[in-house]
Amino acid sequence: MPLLEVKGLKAYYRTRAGEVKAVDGVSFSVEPKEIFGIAGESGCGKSTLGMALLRLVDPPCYVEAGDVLFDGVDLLELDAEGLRTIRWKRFSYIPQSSMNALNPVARIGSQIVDAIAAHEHLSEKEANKRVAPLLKGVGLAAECADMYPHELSGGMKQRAIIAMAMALGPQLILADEPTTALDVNVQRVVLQALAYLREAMGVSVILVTHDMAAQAEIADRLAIMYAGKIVEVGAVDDVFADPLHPYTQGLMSAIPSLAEKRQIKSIPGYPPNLLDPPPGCRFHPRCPVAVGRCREEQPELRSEARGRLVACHLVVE
Amino acid sequence: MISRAAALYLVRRLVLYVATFFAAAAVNFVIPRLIPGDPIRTLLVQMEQQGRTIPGGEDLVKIYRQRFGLDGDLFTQFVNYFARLLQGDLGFSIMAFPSTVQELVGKAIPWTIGLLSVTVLLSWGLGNLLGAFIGWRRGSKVDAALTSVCLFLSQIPYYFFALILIFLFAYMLPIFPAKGAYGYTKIMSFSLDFAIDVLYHSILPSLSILVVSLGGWMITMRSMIVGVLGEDYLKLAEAKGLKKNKILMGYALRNALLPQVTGLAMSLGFIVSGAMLTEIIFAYPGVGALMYDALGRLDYPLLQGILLIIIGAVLSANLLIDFLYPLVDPRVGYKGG
Amino acid sequence: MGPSKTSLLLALRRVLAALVEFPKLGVGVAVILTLIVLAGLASVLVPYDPTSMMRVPPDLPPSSQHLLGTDTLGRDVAAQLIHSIRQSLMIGAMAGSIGTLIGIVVGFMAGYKGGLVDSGLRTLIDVFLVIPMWPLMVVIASYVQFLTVPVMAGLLAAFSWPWPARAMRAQVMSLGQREFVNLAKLTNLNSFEIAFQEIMPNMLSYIGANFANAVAGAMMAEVGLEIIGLGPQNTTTLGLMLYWAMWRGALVRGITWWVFPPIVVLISVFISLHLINMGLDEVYNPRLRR
Repeated sequence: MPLLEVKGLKAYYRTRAGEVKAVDGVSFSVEPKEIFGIAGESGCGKSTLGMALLRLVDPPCYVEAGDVLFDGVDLLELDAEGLRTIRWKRFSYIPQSSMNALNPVARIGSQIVDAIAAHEHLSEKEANKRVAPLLKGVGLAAECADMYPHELSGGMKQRAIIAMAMALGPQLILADEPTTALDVNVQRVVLQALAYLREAMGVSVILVTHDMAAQAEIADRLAIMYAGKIVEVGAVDDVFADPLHPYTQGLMSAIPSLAEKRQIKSIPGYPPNLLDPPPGCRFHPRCPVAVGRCREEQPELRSEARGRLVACHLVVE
Repeated sequence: MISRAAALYLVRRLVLYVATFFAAAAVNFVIPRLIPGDPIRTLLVQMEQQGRTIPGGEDLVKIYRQRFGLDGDLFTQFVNYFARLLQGDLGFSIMAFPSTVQELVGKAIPWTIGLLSVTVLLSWGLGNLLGAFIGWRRGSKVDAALTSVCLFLSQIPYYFFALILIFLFAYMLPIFPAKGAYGYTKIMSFSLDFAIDVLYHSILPSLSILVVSLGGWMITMRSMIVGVLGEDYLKLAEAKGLKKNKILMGYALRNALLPQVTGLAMSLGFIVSGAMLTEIIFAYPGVGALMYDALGRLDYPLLQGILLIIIGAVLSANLLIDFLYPLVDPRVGYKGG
Repeated sequence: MGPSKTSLLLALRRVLAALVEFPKLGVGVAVILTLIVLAGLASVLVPYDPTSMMRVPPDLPPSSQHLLGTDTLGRDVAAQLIHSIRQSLMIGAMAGSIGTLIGIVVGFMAGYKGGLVDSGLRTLIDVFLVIPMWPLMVVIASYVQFLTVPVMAGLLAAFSWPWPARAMRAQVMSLGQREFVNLAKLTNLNSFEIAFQEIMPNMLSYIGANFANAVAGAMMAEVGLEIIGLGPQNTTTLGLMLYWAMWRGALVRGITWWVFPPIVVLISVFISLHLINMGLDEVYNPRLRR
């Protein structure tokens, strides 16, 4: 049974001008002990998707429809207390901007202890003992526990947050752009930490990032998101080597390659306005192979023979 | 325990306060010398015309001159003035001669400090807590109602509120006394009886200051909390599955409290000013009432002595808050203090 | 004649629309305007000297003849009130204007120039902010022989400039880093021109908010002095009315109509000015709007 099963999730921003359909009918599943990547351009809705899973979206954004089954339990239907007990203990979160995600007036150690104390009945001493090994696990000195956030560099803060995310041994971690705004060395450390989580601790990670290199490095399966919808899902090597959806093909050819010298082609046009998306397939205005049907009918995400899911009229025949 | 940066910050503040105090003392030195004529002699002449004499009045003029006046050149005067100041000698009071200024202020200041310390701390503390709860529940009916009331109350000067309270609870419903810190017939002692009497007399004065101040702190804390609501660390705290109360107290309040501490330090001058006027209304024997008496008798040494002591007290309170501030905000000294 | 008239009307309509859109501002302005009109009509409504004593029987409660009754010194309270409003507002407005003007200039210099100028001015501002104003003003006022309206306004202004200065400095420092100022610098305008053409227009409502605040502060300080008798000696103000009332034990003797009208008017002034302050802040900073 999959660890996480998302069915038809819709999250819209209600604005004066109308509804911005940031996440419009997204379905996917995450297995235990796998790193599931969600990639796409800025503004495709992947961050909103991540927040919606944990019910962390704030007005004017609302989850309009769908199921989020975590180990069989629908997170969207849970009451406040039930949600609180699952949060962090079984499903934790590494936020997008770690710069401000830590409480500026509390020490790192105490913030980790907070998370532990909220879910387990431990004395403060016992909870404190758990902090040092967690920090070591992400390559931070045990002394960091006594420091304040402003005393740490960006990379150190990010790693502290990863340590915090691991504190209760969750089954699933949502990592929202964990490598953005970090230098390459720290990026490597962060990605290695996430991979280590899967290997040694059996934790699943949902890796939401537009950084295709990061996806290539540690993701097991990859979902490509465009304009609020998932257009392709598959094993990461397959998706990179043989992209099926025209958008994915465009993405892959826009990535520079160290192996061969080829021209980088970008996708012409701009992502659509989610307030009033184009009819039919959302990608059709920019698609090089669009046909008449693409303008009228929205393609469903369907299984393709090679073990992949694609939402395109031209691929799944 | 305190970082080097924080220590440097404190030293800078200390220097500022000491410099301010000496500047104030210097201004105090200069003012009487700017006024043409000799206020002491003028006063004596006035009193003689009214048929009153101070025994040894001419000697008093000589002593006053010796202490604050024109004997010796300006530099000698300046040095003597500061020398005496550092010994705590502020001269003689005219209206209560031969009592010294220090004596009179010494008797009055415990009442003012007693009244103010309790009132200020209570109103600040309660106001912040209330403001935090209201800000957390922003948009509710309780929020709208309470905010409007406090907005209204916070703009009323303490002494106006005092007049209203006296009218309502000392005359309409004579529950509380309208004047004094203790009953006429009571003698000052360390007895329970006296303590209760003091408490009873302090209720209206403290309420006048408390209610108005509390309103003000509530409103500012509310907007601080609302400002903190959008911060990333609150979102992560929610994602961590922390209980709502823990998030409010440990994360939101702790951060919103920082500008409130600074605000307290900045408001002290204002609070003291208002409290002194309130004392006058209640004939409460603190420095405010003393200043009013001194004004009526044009007792300049006493007036200036009170002013200097009050400035010293407020600066000390500010220094104390500055010392405590790095304990609540660990970032002090890093961002330029 | 045509175009300028319509543009004036248009400006007026826009101002009225703003007053409706920002209710705090609207209410505050309405109350203050009413008081100003009342003050302006003082000589018309009360064409005699309201402080001359024993013109009417003393201690009469409010009636149709004397809307707010009469005081212990035989004067009509309502007549006094109208003239007092005028004097108090005048002192407050004068002190507030001078104080705000000084504060803006000082704050601007500090924020724009930076460096040593800023350090020095900032220290000066901090010193003024820390020291309790009322006792200081009492001492100064006790030395002054003739306390008239302009002298009072000057004294009050000398202590009401630090707050606008502080606020102005903070704003200038935050605005100075914004792109348009840098662009203006690139286009070779000198400091003065940058100040007036680029920065000031953005700050008009902010300056207005500071002005309202300064007037409120000045009037509170004014009353603080008058209520113990340190007021302009040749005229009547709201604070002085209270002084006389308390001096004659009005509250004790139940002559409440002498005590409460000035208090009510003053509280209304303070609240309205505060509302104007908040309203203009909302205009300036859209993030504050509900």
